Amino acid sequence: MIAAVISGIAFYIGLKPFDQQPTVLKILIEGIVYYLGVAAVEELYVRGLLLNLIEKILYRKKNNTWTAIVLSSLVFGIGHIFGTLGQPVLVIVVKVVWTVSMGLYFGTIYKKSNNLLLPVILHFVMDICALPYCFTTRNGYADISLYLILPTFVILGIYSLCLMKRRGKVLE
Amino acid sequence: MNKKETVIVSILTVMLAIMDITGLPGRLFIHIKMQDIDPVYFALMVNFLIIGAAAAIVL
Repeated sequence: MIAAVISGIAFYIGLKPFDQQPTVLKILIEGIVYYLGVAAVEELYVRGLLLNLIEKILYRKKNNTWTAIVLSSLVFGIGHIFGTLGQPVLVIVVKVVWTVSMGLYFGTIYKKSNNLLLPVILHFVMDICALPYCFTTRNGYADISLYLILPTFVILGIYSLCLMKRRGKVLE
Repeated sequence: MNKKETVIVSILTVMLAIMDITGLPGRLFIHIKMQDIDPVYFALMVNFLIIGAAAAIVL
């Protein structure tokens, strides 16, 4: 929740001053309903299918769950490159690192709860932080947004890895 | 999970990922214009429904 609030504030600060007055329908469709679909679909194939698939393929290996979370998060991060094409390399790298970190968090939540609905809800909450984009014609990310969002998600990702490692040790 | 199921799930995962990233096939045939909403959002949302249907059929 803290990460979501920081993201929302980061986007808000980075996109100010706003140059567009959207209709309520635009905010509803572009800022909320669309992201509900994004969260459901991405969690379905990245966590629900890919993560479980990697985990099953590596079932003989030690730390197979941990490896599956890391690999599926890397795929999740790389998949976000396409949305940033045409932007500076630094922005692309930052976006990939932050989405990999988000993936680690969602993967950990999924594996700890064994419930796909939880990462879907969390993904949706994180995504609707981009709501300020409905109020501007600008695209891309302001530097200030990147500097605020990147460390937030990296800390979240590292924390998730620590949780999974600790869980692995308990299971051993 | 046996080999056949693994292959099916792998193909489905790759297919859904490609559909999500490219927005296809929704982008090709959905052109809804409503108020100030960017028409691409309707195409992408229809695509999500197609992805959901594909997943439901296979799984």
